[in-house]
Amino acid sequence: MSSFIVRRLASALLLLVLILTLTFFLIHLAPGEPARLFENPHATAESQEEIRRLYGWDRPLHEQYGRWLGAVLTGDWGVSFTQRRPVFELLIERLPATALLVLTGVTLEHLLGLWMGVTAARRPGGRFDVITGRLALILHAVPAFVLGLLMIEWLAIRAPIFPPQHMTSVDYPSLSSWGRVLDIAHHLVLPALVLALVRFGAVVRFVRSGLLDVLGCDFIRTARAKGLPEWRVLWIHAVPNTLGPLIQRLGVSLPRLLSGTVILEVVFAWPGLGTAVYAAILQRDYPVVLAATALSGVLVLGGSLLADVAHAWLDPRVRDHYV
Amino acid sequence: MSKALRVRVRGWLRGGSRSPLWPTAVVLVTAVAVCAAAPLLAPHDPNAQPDPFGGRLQPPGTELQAIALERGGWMLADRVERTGDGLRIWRGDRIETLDADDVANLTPDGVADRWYFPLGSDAFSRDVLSRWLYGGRLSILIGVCSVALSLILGLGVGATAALGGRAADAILMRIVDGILSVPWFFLLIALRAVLPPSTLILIIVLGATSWMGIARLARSEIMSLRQRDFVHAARGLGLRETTVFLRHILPNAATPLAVSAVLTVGYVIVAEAALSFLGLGVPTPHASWGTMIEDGRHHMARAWWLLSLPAGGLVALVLTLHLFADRLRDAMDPRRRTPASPSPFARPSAGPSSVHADQ
Repeated sequence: MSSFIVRRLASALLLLVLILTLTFFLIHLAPGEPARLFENPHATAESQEEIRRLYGWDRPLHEQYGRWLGAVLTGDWGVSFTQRRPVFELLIERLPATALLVLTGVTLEHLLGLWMGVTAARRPGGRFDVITGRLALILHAVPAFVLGLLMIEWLAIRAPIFPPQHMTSVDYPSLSSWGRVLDIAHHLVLPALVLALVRFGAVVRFVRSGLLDVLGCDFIRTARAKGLPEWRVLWIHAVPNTLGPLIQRLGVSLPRLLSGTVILEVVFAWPGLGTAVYAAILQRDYPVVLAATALSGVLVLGGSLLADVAHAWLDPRVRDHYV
Repeated sequence: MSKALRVRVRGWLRGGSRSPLWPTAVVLVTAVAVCAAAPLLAPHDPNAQPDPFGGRLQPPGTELQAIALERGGWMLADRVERTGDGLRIWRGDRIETLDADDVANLTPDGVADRWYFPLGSDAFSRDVLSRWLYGGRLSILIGVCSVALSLILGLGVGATAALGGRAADAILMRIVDGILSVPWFFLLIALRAVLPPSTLILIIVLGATSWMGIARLARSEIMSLRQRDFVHAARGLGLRETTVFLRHILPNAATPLAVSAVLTVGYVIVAEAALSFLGLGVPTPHASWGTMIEDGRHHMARAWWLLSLPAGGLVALVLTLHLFADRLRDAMDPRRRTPASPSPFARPSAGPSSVHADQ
């Protein structure tokens, strides 16, 4: 087991360095120099030179790369060009909003998916099963931003039930603390619902097919023979056996979502990591883009590492078959 | 067509008894044909702005009076009335008068031309039906070209990894893992933001970032096929390595690759729309479904057709592609042709995973 983790960790570290390298060279080889950001008609050639020296852009690329990698690994992620603040601070500040959106959406997705999957599996081929299947298939084809826009149009503008954008209302600062919670919750409904709706189909599919495999097993018959109530047989005995693939999937997708649900956040003007990174990319705020890529790389690798370890821990067959 | 091929194609189209391939194939082919025939079918030039004031945001089915001006161009009006020395016209909330000398298409009781908007008009008085058709054409074109590129790249990398020895395999697959661990959409935005806006570059960027799933699939398929008896037999017969690969390995890997490619077309079309929505995709004023959605977003409160029509087109196309891929997989795999479980669900998909999730 420990050698499995070590092997997996080594390959993850290697990958991380690869990602960092890739991002660095991608951004630095692209046309358009960051020095142009500071371009103004009054700047002299000397002051431009000064800026280049200050940021180390006058040095050869490999030297810049070495310095940057060293700094990143020691926790110094640089200063944002446009906001003149440490990148780390900037990203950490945005993380809670994204985490709130993603965790709510993912929770909703799993509640919906588990309920529908279990109900569908109880009578495969029945009406509920067929309708759920069609619904999941159709929603899988709807891009999140399209669903988000349509929801804004119909549930926020034409029928003003929910606020169309942002995380808080204009009068947020003057609200009581309960009022603030309710205000954010009100703003959270649409984006979280969109996230859940475009993703829950896979949960239904996993749970349904997993349950169909499990429900024929002996231990389920035993549980039924003991006279347990049906809900107990389903939810306590059968459902946990279907969670393996779901955990695996979550380990891969949760870090991706956390590192920036860019377009959903842009559609809902949600003040999370995604919008920050989007703005940084458009403004060529290199330190922010690099740090965000690195962060997402770490999150993704960490997530899949955790998922693999958890899977291997649960299922010895995986351990022996790895690599 | 040889008889064997004919039988095979017929078998594919019939598919499983529960999920035949041909209905989705017909829908898909029709949709592609309609969009491809945009220049023939579109009633107007998709970028023509006949009258940005009088013709803006007209609902579907509106017919306006079109006044041809002597100095060139058009004026669109809800109502036109002939007065003694000219015209009185109603445009939006304004009533204006025009001299008879300024109008080129005068008739005794008004003007001779009409401008019909079957699906309404946008904020610049452009015809939505024409833009929708051209937009669909561009979206499909971008999807197909990008996936052609990613198929070439993916097959190249996958085959090199599978056949090029352990070192090549390790290096290439680590690179694939590395690219895959940066969210796809992230990578797309970053690449698009630093490169100049053009449709060709968009296609290249989309193709260059969507090949990883295909590469993984190609690698695993080729690796498992290489161990099969008929491949050993072909090699034992003294065939050259390239012949073995092209004649015996590749055709047998074609099915999963085709399925994955069809799914990737769907993902790429969505990605293009999302990029265009962010202003990083197809450069203005060209219509794609993404740019139309972006246009429509600013007028949601007044003009539902600007958002819903391109959104509907996009969803319908992607859904058809998913269904088609699913049926294709069933049809080309004899083991799946007899439906074991009456599942209405799509099977877990190959290709770049969790594209929606990234968004």
